[in-house]
Amino acid sequence: MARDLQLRRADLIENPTARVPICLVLDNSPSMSGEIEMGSLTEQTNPRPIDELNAGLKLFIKELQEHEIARYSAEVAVVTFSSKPEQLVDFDSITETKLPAITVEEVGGTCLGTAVDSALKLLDRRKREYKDAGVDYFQPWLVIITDGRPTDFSHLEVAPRVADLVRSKKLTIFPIGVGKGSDLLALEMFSPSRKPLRLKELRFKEFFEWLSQSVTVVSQSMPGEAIKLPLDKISDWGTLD
Amino acid sequence: MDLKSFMNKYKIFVDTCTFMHESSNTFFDDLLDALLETGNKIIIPVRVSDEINKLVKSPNLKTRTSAFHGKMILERYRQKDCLSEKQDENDPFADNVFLYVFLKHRTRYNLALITQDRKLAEDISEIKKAKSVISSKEILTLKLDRHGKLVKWHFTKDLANDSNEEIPSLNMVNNEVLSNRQPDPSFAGNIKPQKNLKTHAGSVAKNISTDSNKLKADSPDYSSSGNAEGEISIVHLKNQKKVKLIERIGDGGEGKIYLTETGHACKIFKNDKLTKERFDKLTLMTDLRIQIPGLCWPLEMAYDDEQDPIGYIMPLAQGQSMQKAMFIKKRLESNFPNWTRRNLVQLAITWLEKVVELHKHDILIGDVNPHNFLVAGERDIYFVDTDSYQIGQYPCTVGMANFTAPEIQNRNFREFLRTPNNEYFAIATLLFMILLPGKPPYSHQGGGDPRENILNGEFAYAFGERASQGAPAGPWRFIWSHLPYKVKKAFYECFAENKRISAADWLDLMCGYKYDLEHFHLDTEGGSDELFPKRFKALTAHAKQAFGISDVSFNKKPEVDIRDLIITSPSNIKSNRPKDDVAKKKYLSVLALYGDLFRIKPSIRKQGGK
Repeated sequence: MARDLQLRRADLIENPTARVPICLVLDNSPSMSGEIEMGSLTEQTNPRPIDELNAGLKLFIKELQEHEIARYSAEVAVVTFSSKPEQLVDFDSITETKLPAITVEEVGGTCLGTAVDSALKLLDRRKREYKDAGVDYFQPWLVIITDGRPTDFSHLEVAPRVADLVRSKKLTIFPIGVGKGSDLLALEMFSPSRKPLRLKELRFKEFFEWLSQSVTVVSQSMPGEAIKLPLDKISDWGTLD
Repeated sequence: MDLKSFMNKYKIFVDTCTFMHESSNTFFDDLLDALLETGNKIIIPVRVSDEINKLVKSPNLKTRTSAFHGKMILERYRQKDCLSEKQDENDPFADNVFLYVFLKHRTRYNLALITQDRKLAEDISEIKKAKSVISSKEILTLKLDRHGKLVKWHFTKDLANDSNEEIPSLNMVNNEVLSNRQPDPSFAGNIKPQKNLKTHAGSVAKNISTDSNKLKADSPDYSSSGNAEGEISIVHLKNQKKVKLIERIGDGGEGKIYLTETGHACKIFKNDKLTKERFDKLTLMTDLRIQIPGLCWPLEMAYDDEQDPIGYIMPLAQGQSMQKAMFIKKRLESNFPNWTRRNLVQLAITWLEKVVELHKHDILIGDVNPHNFLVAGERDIYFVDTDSYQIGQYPCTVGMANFTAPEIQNRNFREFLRTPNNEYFAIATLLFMILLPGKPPYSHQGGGDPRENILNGEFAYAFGERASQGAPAGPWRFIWSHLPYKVKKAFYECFAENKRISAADWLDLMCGYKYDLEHFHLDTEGGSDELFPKRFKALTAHAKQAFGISDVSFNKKPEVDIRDLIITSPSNIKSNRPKDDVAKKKYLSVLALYGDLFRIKPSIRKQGGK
């Protein structure tokens, strides 16, 4: 799955296209399975959120791969989190990537802050690699999706750092809450300029479709350009509280 | 059969419609090269050039454009003396002229006719079958297929099968039309209505609208994706003319682009986008009647049923945007599998020729960027989005940071007119990205915002006695090393010292570069003619001789790295020029030829050499 280091380096050097690094920070705590415990009974929602999330992700990668420019520009990393963060996919060219399906963790938790922190580290490392190779890049994107509220205090330390990056235009952030249990206030701490959105129902597909379109728009511009994201289409999948 | 042996064997005749064939540029370029090499000429009856000269003034835009295209080719052939224009007092009019000539000469020469006209081709090949004359000489009829490739006419098959022969060339993948935005998948094939051009001497002035009916029948693709409901399907031109819009082929922020029944493109603006100012600018542009092959210039305003202006007609473009066609290694190699560096340089020449023409008319492109030029071949480039060009007092209101000169960075393009010198920066940038396919000049190790790099003149590539300041790793430094000294100098002065040269000067430089490549003046063995050379340039035998240093054993190893050469040179080059003669010669010749003496700074080496 993880490509040979040499291949990755070769791609960095040979492909002159300015990169759009996108790090997805995705909640895979038990609640994403859609099982709701009610006393001794468990109830299963249909469809399961995790399945919808995976379908959305698949669509996301596919749409990027099908676009003639975004295909060579977008790079995707995935960090999942429940009780602890896990780096599922490291940054790489997406031209041949097949993302592994995300599975639900057995141990519950929402370590939002530590997850975002490891995403920042991944992004930093990738930016350094771009610089070492002399490759242009766009300011990275950070997508955070959670259906719960933080179970530790790590976000209190990480969120202000993220907010600073956003304010100084070094990072673009898309915080998304899923379901009524998600804590939009905690997400808002990360996002000084744009309010977090709540996903309508389980419209992961619509969200990721929108995201891929936005990446495409960026990939066709040049670093340093002002970008117009298709904001009018956000209502397809998201609402403000 | 290759072109050279073909022309050695046959007397080659070409008819009017072939000169006017839209995809003929590459063919005529190749043919010209072969003619020059073999010292042959093609033959045309004077009737043909008369015909073309007449059609240049045709009231029909399409015909006019095609005729102009043909005229340019004829002109080029005349200049190179590769055209033999024959006139015979007995010459009959029109297409019969070929029949007459072929009948007359069939026993003396092998004859070949290149024509797009099936009837004429059939008639000509009938001559061959005439039993009354026994001759060992041959008659050949050929045509250009829709990709401009020379193929033989076949008459045994019916029409439907005949088209099988026109297999799309493998060089170009999906033809994309006009806009780089959201190409319609149903447009995989070539959409050019060839029927309009199936004309030859005498029959060109045919009514185009009857031809376009044929077009529909011949191209089932059209029916599958007609205009969506509610879209405009007919526009009005001046003089009560109407033009049908056949299909939408592009979609952009300002409006939509349609293919017209006459084989043109028509841009229809969104409701509020055709402002008074824009209308005035477009009127100025259409009045100018500028004709440069490949320039998709507004030709005529288009009006709706109420006679309100809604858009304009322009020539149809072909190919894919430069960004998509060639600024990614894999795509470049799959789109143009046979290209070497000299094709890239030819592409730069083709592009510059058009830019120089525009500048002669005091027109600036303004928004130079790789999405606004479509590439169909090294001599086949289309300039699109021309309505944003700066003309008269109308500024070009857009621009990309990467192509924007430092003195106008962070300024609002609506509020001032660009100068030619501003444009020269953009030209140098795009040329750099053509020669180092896709790599912007200001990308370097250690990064930084492109805007800041431009403002600070942070150009990383080595030049003269200046070492690389962290030029991007991999093939980019190799390519740079292989550029001729003069080209490097021009880039370096533009990007590091803010001294620019004009498009015409660049054109001279590129022609010189091409000449050097074709005459093996550069390090061909070391990869000077490769798209992506794998090592630095080394001194060629030619160069050693030119500098009288053939006694100096420069290249102990064939793969010697120019940097090793300098590091091991006897003295500190920067402070003390080498004293002994041999070292001095080494130094001067290397300086002159490479212009990239490396003094490797330890810090940079560490950073870059990880």
